[in-house]
Amino acid sequence: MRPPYLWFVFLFCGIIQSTFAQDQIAVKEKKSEGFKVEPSLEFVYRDFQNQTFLGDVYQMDLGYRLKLNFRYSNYPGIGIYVGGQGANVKENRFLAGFFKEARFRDHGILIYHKFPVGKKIAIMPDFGVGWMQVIHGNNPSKYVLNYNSYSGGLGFTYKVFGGEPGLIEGHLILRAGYGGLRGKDIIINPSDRSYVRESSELSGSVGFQITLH
Amino acid sequence: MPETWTLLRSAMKYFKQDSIAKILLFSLLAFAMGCKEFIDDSFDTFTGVIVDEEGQPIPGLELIFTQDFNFSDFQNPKSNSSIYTELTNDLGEFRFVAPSRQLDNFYYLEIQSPYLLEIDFFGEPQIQNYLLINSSEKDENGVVALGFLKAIKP
Repeated sequence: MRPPYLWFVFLFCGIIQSTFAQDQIAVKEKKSEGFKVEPSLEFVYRDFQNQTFLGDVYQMDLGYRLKLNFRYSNYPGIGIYVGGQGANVKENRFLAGFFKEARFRDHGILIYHKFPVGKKIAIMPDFGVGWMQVIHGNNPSKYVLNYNSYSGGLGFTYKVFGGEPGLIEGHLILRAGYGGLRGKDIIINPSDRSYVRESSELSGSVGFQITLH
Repeated sequence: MPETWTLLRSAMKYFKQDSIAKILLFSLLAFAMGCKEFIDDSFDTFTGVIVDEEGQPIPGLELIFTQDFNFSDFQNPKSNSSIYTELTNDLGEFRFVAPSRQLDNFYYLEIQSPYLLEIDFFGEPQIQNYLLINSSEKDENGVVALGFLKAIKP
């Protein structure tokens, strides 16, 4: 009997094979060639790992992420992103009750690829590195915690309109992601160090992407 | 209102004439803008062990960590509110963490009755129900180690 994870490996290989085949067809199409700009706006929900400072202290609200992606023909692309998210501060033993709310701000760069699956659907894996700030209060009583982040995700896009050469395409996006966070510069006692400095996150987002040929 | 304008005009005239006053004013503005209450990416930690008169740790002792302390009853000052209220662990240890501030952070550690703390006050033992602690002597990890604090039952 095969271990369960093997079925995922077979499924993944199948998808890759299928998408590469589709990719080859797509390369032949004239409309797939050339430089493309793909701005998008996504609404993001993310959940930090429990039993870490970020997971236990902050009750996250819905956030946003603005991306600006660039790619040439069907080669992998590169993108930049900025995002924001609000949060309520839960009762905790680190912030001394000074703050009730926090703002999460993140920005970074990513690489991605778009594998067409059929005429309208595409799979879009991505990997990015970035920076996240957890901002409490306002000047002059602002208190900021800085984290580095790395993240990977798998998105699905569905073409809603467009597709003719020279026209704008509109895509709906559904994405799930996983990321790690490290606040290596945070000064804290050794007992609480890994709890405060390290975390991971699961995120889900829905949004809209425009492709400009 | 006209007096205010006159005063403002006089001040502007003075600043135009006196370059030292101008430098002082801009320095003051820069200082005010640069003043931040908290130090980013930094926490202060206050640690210690509560022991009895024989030096044995006292577990389960309630401690109040606060900045809001009322001295109106000088014989028996009390906290108005608490930042944290915690019990010492099985080894009599406590640990309180707070965001670091630019200026020294002053807090009060209140011990609950029937215990009182025996404090070394310029070489003389002093009995009181609180300890004033500050972050001026923290190490590179932001830890202020208060060591062994003797609690007595009067």
